[in-house]
Amino acid sequence: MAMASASTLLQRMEEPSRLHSRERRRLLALTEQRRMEPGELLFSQGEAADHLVLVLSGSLEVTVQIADGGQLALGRSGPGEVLGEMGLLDGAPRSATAICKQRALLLVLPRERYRALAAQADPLACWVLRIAARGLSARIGDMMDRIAAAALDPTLLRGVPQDRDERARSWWSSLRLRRRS
Amino acid sequence: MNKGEAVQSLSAMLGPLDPEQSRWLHKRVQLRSYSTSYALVHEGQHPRTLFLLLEGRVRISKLRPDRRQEVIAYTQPLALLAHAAALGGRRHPTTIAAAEPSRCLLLPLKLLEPDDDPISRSMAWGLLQATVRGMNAQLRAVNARLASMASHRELVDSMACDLGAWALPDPP
Repeated sequence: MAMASASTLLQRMEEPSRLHSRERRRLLALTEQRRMEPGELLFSQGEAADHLVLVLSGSLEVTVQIADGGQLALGRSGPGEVLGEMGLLDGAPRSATAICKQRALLLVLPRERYRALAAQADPLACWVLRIAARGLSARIGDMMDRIAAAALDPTLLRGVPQDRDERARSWWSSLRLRRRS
Repeated sequence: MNKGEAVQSLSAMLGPLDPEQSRWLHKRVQLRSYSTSYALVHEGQHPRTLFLLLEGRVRISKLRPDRRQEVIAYTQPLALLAHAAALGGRRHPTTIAAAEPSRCLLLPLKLLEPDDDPISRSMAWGLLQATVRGMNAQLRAVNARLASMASHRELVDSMACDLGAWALPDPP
């Protein structure tokens, strides 16, 4: 099935549609489009962070490696969400791995372009930061929920939930934590 | 610490402040003291302000399904607090309470909405960057905590973790 164009997808999204059409065109001009197929790797934990992406369609799974070599699922990112901003903002290596789960179309903003925008307090940089902040806020909330839930019933999830309800149900599966007496 | 000194502490987030910027901020921020156990914000409240912890220590906790409070973290001075809800357009996900006598600088959310004034614009941009950096650091810390829990496959007796001044931003 053919994918809608980046421009069309941007217009359909809540946050990007709030941008002036001139700014949306600038965003498209400053970013590179990338199509991904399921299983394709966007970035790996530990590598240098040299770009962030805005997800236009599809979804990506974010995981972090744990000590036994397994992967702990942190969540999924879908349309309208920014991914990869953490390393870009603080200069630290990637804190997690992102893999395409559903065929995706992304806008890729390289680090040097973001920094050039940020140095001028460009409205697009401000917009990117606000989108990133929304995503960070949601993820922080989810992680707090998981920690609080694990404290009561010490189990954690390894699979990746599809949505919040499913996530809530599936926290209780998979990883058993043994209570110290 | 008086209000003037408290305003100057914002330079850790915003970079050096000139006298005009300091005066501008002085008119808009508020310095408040909190006694032990006083809640700065309650879980579920709508955000109205950001807090920069200047002195003391605060406890961040979350209501568990059994209605008990689970301590998520403690933070130290220069931590920016209550920012996740403010910028995420959400209600506060946690309760933040003074773990010991504490002082905070209260930054109204209006500071994040610049008007045409150049000082307003530069302060809003600086605060936005600092806030997102703080959220970034917070998420890294919480993710690491969760990964650590999963790795060890055991329950840590207390889930409380000292994440330090997790919102301490890098100087510009």
